[in-house]
Amino acid sequence: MNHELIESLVSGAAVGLGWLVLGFAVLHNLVFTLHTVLAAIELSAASQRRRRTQEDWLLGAQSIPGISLLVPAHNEERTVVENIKSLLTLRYPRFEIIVVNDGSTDGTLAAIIAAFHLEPIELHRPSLAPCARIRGIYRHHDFPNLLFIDKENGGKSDALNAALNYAHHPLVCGVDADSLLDHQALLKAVRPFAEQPTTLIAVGGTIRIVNGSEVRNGQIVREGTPTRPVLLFQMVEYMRAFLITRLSLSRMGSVAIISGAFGLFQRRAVLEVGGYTHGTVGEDMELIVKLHRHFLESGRPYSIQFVPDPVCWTEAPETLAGLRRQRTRWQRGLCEVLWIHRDMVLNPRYGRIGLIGLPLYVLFDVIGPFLDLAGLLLLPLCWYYELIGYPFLLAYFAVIALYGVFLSMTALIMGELALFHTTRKRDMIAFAFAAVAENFGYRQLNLWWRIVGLWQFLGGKQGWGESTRVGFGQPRAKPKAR
Amino acid sequence: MLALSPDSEQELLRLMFLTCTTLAVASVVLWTAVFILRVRRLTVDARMVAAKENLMDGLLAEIIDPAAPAVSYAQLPRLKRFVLVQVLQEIVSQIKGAEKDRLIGVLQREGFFEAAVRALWDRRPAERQSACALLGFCPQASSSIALRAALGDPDLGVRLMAARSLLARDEIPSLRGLLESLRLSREDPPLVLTDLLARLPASLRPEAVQLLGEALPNEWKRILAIALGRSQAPEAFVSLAVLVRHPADRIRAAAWIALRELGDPQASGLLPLGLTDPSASVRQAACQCAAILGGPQNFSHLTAIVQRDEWEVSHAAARALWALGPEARQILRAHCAPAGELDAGVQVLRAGELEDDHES
Repeated sequence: MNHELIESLVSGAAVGLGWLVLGFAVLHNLVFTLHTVLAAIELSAASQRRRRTQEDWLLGAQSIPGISLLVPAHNEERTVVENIKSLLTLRYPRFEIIVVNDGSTDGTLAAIIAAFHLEPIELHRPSLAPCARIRGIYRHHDFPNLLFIDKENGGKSDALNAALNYAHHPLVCGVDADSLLDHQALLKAVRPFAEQPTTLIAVGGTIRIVNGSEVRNGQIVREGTPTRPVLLFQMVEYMRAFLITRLSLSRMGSVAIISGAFGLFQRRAVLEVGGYTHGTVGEDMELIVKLHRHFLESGRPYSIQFVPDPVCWTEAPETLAGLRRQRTRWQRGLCEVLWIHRDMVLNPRYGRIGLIGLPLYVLFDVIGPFLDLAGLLLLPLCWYYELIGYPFLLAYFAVIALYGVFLSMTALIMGELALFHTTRKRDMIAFAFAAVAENFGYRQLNLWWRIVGLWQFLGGKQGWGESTRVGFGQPRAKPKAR
Repeated sequence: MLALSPDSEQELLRLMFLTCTTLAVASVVLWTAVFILRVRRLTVDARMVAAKENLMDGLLAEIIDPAAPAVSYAQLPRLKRFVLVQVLQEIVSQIKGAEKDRLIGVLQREGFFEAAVRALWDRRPAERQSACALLGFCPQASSSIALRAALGDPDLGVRLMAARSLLARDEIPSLRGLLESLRLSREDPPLVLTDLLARLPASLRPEAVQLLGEALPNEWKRILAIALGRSQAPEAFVSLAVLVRHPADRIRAAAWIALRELGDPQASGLLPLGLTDPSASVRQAACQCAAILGGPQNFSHLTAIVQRDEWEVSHAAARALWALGPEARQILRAHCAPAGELDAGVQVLRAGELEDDHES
């Protein structure tokens, strides 16, 4: 009797678990489908807006605001000079570059001073955003729009705050020292500020992966795709994240993150919230959520937008170990921000960001991985022990993998038609392969890394971990043969 | 869900599987279609690029060297005719002087002008825009008629290009009429207006000044004020002087920017109003104006701002004092003597002295 009861309980629990994970996967897909529809509408609107404001008009316009580029650099000896040279060639009428050496222990400081013949100058600004002690300010007469700050190590947020204090243009743009900007990036990103000069406080842009493209003198001379599957998968993933999710959230007025690799902000607004927060891994997301909170609490009209134009190129991890470090760090950053601002989640006082943006992250990025992974591990076991039938398993497989193929392919199609216009057949075939294959292993691996990241957050792990940069335009090391 | 009968449950699972599989297959098929179209497009693009380059080489050779053989429209193959307007527009936007005159001469040749007019009815907005830009250089009366017709184009970019061309030819009888025909919506960027108003010919300035005093949307008024300031239209002074008392601070700030650009010395009498404005952005703009038009009567206000205001405003006031000559610099130095390292005045003084050193 007891045996039958236990059997019936186990069977009931297995079926219950099955429907829970299946229902969650269906919900996730429906939400992503809604994102796709909204992103398509926004892409179409963005294309109309592009026609209204041609970039060349912006270039000649007297009224567009100046931009200060904030470039934090910590042990970036290999890439920083090349990047600064690339930034100096940007097409924009009024901009300055503020490079901050955040207590590097390699030759970053010497490399920059030598490359640009910088001389120490006396320049002080009030610490409107808190930062560690400044050791010196450097400039050269021939590069009046390049300012170099040498300071004690305080982390990325601290370096950005130092640059923020010295910026003198109304717009500031945080740029990672290991990223490359499209030479039209500032013109593309400033367009919304030209369109809504009073209410817009921040704009993010699409980040693309540079691996596989040919870089010369700090500029992409030929776009291409890498051969390593792990990089191809990341490319499709970036396309889905930027082109679908962020664009859709922007349409809904719920942008909760603007990537630290490239974001344009009203300097005054960033200073109002005290600049970047120290000691966070996800300082880029934290700033955006903080801005939402500040403006909503003070009842001032504002908007934060995302432009679909590709504006920034970044180097992606080429190995699974590197990717694991990056993804667990991202997850820790996300959890940190959600924890700091937990009172905003599902709080009607915080409007769309409180009711849509943040809850979506909690549901699909924090809780979701557990349910998805539980489904992937337990449902095959349940089927093996004949607790569920094979149609259930097939349906679950179809919902998580085949629908994933549909969503990835849709993102590719939208990107291809609206923005990217791949110029080589080989690249298109590689993208299609990645869009299908990433649903069979890669995405599931990501779920595991998310859980590891959450675990590390709960365990109080801090810091960025080691990251290996190859350097732009450098030959890639061949993977070691097994 | 648990309440479903086994049959309905099986049916639901089957439906899910079929839906997902169908969508996945459909998306792959659609991608394949996009791929085929893209490959075809790449082939066509390659041919078009080759045709464009070839045509451009021929036209450039003709306008650089008058002895070179003339490009004849009648002998152009179909593909070259297709890209002709784009090529002409690209060349005309990149050259000037005698070469540009010669290219305009080419435009008068049989077939070329007609091609530009025909392009106004092309289905591609970019082609219509190129046509508007080209027709702006054609002296024929029919080009004016065509450009006026283009002001009614459904695409704003085409309407704007037509307006730019007509403004360049000084063939806009009324600014109000032009703004109405452009049908700018609330979503249209202020930059569009900035671009147009920056091109105002002298004949339209009196009407623009008059518009400044009328009931325009605030953003339009702001842009118009700055555009008039930049156009150095002296008749705008009176209207701008009224705007420094406007209730909206963005407009008051714009009025000070415009007065600075205008450079009319009468504005110095108004400066106390701007330097004591309740809005920081207006005070900052007034300080920038004072740097050019201010005088001894403004020293006390500027010093007060340096001593007490927000850092950015204080910095602008200190720069104004530095710009206003030795007496004002002495006042700034006196203020800076007891001030701390981070004081805006100290920063301006340092930067100014450093600049003087470099110059000497």
